[in-house]
Amino acid sequence: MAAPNKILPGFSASMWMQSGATPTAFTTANLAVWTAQVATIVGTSANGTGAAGVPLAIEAVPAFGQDDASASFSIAGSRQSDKIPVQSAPTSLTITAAWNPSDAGLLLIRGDAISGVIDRTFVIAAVDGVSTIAYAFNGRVSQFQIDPAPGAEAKCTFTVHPRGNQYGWSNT
Amino acid sequence: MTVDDAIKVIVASYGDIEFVARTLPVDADEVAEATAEPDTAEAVALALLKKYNPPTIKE
Repeated sequence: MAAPNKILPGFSASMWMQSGATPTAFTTANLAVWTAQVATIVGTSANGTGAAGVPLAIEAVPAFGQDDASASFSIAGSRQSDKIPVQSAPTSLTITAAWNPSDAGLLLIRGDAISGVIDRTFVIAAVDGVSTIAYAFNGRVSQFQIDPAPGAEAKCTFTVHPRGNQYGWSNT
Repeated sequence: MTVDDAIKVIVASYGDIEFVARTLPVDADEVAEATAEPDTAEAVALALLKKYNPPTIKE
């Protein structure tokens, strides 16, 4: 997968996702294509067109990438063992957002969590002026909880589980 | 398999396209001559085919 060819001195990150209750997730190759693909999910505030996407009003973009997995092999009498990378899963993104029952994005997330089988394309966009670097991935949503504790604003927490190998980088 | 067919397979894939590109039987010289519009899925696919099918050295 090609890495982005931009360097952003400073950026603000935002998260976007396909609109539509039953979207057709991008194929893996299209996740790395900005023009007419990823740009359609990313809104104009992040230099996209936003025709097929909605923003996710979340507190913070969580860590994303790949979980660590390794196997250790020891040999009797040897000072060091082998610690070899093995198949590992993409990092799940547990996200907190202010609960707004009118927010289109959160309602889609809730519907996805209820279904459990909807693949949707998500985009994390890092923006600095007119430059955008986008990390797009396909994922399913699980665990949608609303916390209505009276001492603070109501919050919802959900987890996006990326599909294995289905990601791509693109940039403007 | 032609390069065009291989590109179609990669573009349509929801799997690991690195793995798909590595396993498709294509002619390295045909891959070397192929071109694709930048910032398209076809360009992504062709780049992977070129990665795993380097041009043969002619004497």
